Amino acid sequence: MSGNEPASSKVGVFLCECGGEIAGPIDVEKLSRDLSSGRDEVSIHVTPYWCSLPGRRRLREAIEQEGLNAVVVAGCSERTHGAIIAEAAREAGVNRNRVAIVNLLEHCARVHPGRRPAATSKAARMIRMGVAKAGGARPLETITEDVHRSAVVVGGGVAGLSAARALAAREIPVVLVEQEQELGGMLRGVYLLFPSYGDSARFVSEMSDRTVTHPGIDVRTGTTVTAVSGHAGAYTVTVEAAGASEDLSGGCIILAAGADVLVPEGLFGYGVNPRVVTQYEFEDMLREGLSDVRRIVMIQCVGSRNAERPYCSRVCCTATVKNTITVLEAVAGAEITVLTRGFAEYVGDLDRARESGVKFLRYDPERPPEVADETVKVFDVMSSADVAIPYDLVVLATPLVPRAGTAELARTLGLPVDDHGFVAEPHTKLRPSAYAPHGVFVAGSAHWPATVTECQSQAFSAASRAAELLDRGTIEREPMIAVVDELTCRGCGECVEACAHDAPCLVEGEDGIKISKIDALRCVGCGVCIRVCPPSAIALQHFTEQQLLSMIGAAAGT
Amino acid sequence: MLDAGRHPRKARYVNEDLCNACGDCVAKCPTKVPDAFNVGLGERKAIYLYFDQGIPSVMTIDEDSCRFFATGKCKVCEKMCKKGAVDFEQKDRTVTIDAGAIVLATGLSVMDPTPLTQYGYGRIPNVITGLEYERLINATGPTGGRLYRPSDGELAHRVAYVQCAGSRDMNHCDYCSSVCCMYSIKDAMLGREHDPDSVSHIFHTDLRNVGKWFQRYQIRGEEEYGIKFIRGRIAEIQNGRSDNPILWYEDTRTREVASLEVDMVVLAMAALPSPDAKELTRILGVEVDRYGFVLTDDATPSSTNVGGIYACGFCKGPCDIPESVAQASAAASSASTRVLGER
Repeated sequence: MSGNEPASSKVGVFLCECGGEIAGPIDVEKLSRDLSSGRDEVSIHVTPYWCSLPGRRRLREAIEQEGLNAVVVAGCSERTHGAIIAEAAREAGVNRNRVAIVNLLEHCARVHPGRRPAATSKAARMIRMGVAKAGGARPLETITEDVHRSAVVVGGGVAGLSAARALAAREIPVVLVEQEQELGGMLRGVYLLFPSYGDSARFVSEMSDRTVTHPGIDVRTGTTVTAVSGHAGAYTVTVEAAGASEDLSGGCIILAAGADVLVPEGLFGYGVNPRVVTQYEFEDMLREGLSDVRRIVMIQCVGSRNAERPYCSRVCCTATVKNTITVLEAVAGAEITVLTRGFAEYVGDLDRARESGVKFLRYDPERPPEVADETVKVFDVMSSADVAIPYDLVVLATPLVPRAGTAELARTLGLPVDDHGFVAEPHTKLRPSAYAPHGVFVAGSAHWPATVTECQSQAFSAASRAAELLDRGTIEREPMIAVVDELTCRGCGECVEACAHDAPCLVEGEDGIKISKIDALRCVGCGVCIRVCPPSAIALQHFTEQQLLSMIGAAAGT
Repeated sequence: MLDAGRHPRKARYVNEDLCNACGDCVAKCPTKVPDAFNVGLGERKAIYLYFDQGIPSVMTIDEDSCRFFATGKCKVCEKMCKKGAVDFEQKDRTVTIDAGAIVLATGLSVMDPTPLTQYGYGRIPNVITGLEYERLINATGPTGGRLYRPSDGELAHRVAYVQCAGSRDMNHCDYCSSVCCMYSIKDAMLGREHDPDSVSHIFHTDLRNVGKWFQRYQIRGEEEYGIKFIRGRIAEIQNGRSDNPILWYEDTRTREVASLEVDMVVLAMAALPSPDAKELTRILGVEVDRYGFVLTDDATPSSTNVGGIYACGFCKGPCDIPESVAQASAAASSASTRVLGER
């Protein structure tokens, strides 16, 4: 049957009420009557939730009882529920490519509240388009490829080290690449850990030693990643060390490239006034031992939660409070004032600091503190008064910012970044540890500012998911990809330029002619290459021109 | 190998292998009781599915309200079931599971609002909790997503959200519950989506939008959904005319004492460890902090003090969904490494 259209299409339409989310704005009863009357040769089924277990069971039963060979589920988005619906249909014998998901929830119900008749009529057209799409699709085979059981970890900070060790514990060979000469990342600059107040240097050196001496981990320091090619299961990571280039292979990649601390040039006298330092630099001073410093003013949210960086850096409040307690224990008679915009310290010792005498004042971002020669002047919101606080040292809590190079590295890996420059995941709530390329996982502050504990959790999580992929032996993916007609392709390379996922590349055939070849595991089936191909040699095998035309016909009601 | 010990398993009086959750039994069951899933806001039958998408998707008979258990007569559900799945002979049983590792993921419970007498929960009809609001605003909830007031069934347009109800409060829970700021913003946005006349005020201590893209979400709530944020703790809620709650507070930015009359108040209650966690951690010998959250250390964030026992999610302390998921995978990673034997 593969490759051929079934003799006749028997399409089942499964209308989802999504509780009342769809059945409210859309008249599902009328919709179902409209679809089953007249020319639509389809069987209609309605349920509150096709995604639920009983819903999927009913879906399978209907397919089997009615001998359906194509399925249209009109409910929510392909992205959130496509996979489980397709799996249920597959179990009943319907090919993945003959399952169409029509997004009634987001494309109709939610965008047309209060316009029930119009929304219902639009829903009918959308579903007819889905019927045209599924009914006109040919069955496609799942793509299967072997997996190389090894991993490349990029970054040797706490996240990278934790991920490498977790993988090695499962006997997965790991190469760990760190651009600095030393392992440990940002933690090397931190004095004490929170919540234990343990020595960070010792923690880092123990962790590094265990990694370096582990027989299953190949540690490459002073090494940078210059290029990545391949796909999930078989990546080639090109690295450079001391001018020499080398290709590393790995079935998956864990990105743990970390973040930088913002250097607040020009803010609050930083760079001009020698008595103004960042909280991160202050960690070093604490390690060295403070001398001639008794009166400290700390300012939170320096360069963050503003128009340029509209985000909270998550870790600074905890770090600040930890450091106030460290100072109080080291310096007799220390006086510490912390100027905040509201404390975002979701874990920490705030109460202990307050009880130990640390003063917390609230400033208004519209009237920021001013660091003068002898005092910090601030309008305290809580007492509605201007205050001048004498200081020996001013400590600025600056946010973590994406590291230079992360965006480029992410691009090479096919990972999107958000507008702050942190690596973005497809869905922060529904799939927080999954990323768009199947073989790439992210841990630590490259993704979002994270505490040491969070870095470790994320690293173990990434390692766990990577191991799940690597231990499977083979990787499967749905055949929703672009394919090249080799006879029509002229090897111009426009598709290679256009693709954001580095899926096509030009290869020389036996006859010496270059043609484009698309890596099935890198291709996301977006169709950008089709638009730029001069001789129209590329087609989406899951979404052909005929299907598109018949969908347009269905929408127009012809 | 850990001594996993014995694990009591409650009888559901329905054979899990036979029941297909068709609902024929529910349709004919004569006994209605308040629906716990809808925090008592709707009704369910004595034989019921916990909720539509619950797993496993199998009916359960609530022994305490079932007519047969009370009078010895009825068994309508048994007669209705075409699969023969109803089984009144089922008994509670003790199951022994041998395991190489245990992962604690016992989650959270929500503080009882009645001790916070200043907020008047239980006394003022239109003061509800965040969880009750979640059911009211949910399209599959007892009101189909409409915000009907408990006092008179009228739509509530003006809603006030009280943050830190019991949290960051030295008399109750002196920690931050971590998730309330964001779910309250979400709730207020949903309120506006379901009702264009909805006006929301969020009374907060600090707005803790520390997670990924949270600040942007808050800005969206403010700019696109017109949510008003007021920094100030509520001193007292009074019941005004027509059962409209009146909130008294000091706006800490303007330092003025003010009041606000609304149609409904939603309390963002403090989150606590689950009520069973105390006994469970005692049995397992797992150390907890003074609030009852499971203690883990810096170096190994999933490991407890007992080898082979790991913890993740809210039982370790307040955390949101992405953190819970990361911690869960981390605990699974540590547990599987132990079971496979560290190499």
